[in-house]
Amino acid sequence: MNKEELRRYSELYAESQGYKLNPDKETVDRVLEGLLENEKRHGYRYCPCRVIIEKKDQDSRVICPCEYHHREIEELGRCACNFFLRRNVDRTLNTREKMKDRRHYNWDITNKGRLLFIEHSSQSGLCSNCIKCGICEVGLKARSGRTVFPEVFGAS
Amino acid sequence: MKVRVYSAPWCPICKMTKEWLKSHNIEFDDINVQEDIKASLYVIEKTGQTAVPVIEIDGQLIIGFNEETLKEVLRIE
Repeated sequence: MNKEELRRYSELYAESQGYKLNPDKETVDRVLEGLLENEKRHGYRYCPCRVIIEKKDQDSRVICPCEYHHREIEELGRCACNFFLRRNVDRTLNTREKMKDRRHYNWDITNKGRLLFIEHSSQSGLCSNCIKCGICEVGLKARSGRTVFPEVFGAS
Repeated sequence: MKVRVYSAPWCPICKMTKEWLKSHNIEFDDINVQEDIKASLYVIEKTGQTAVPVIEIDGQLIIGFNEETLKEVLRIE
């Protein structure tokens, strides 16, 4: 797929979800080029605005459109890359906006695993960015000890 | 003041962040998380999320580009 085909594909996807692509062409071009570069280098169109750790099962969460974009668009009006926007959002980025703290079940490693944030900021269901559980259902999987980042936590 | 920017080369907001720091004459180390797995794991471990940019200023981590917070932490008028 070339850049223009990917742009069209992304536009169609955005429309199907009630979103749109950022009207700023430079931003969109940069993201499209990053997606194609990642496809060339890693075999998948990983989001160019997220970390990848070269573990396919974990990195698959950030293949564009990534697992997190619906929630981000709902909360901020845009995805982390500023690529997909809510249809009624015209601004490209409000530089005063604050990214939400996602450390729902983040472990304070320096404190030997003491939970920093016990309560989820949202009880609506999935906590897609929780690092202890990856996709946790209000902490149930987190308590089970499952982690999608065993390199960090040494758990399975 | 030690400033590190965990970023990715094609990320538009990372670019914006680095340009903002340069325009305020702030020196920083630019760490490419798509090349450096250790840095990727560090970002995940410390911030609980996978998006960049993450800006570390003397150990304090800021997720995303927030001009107001950066000015406050960097003590820029």
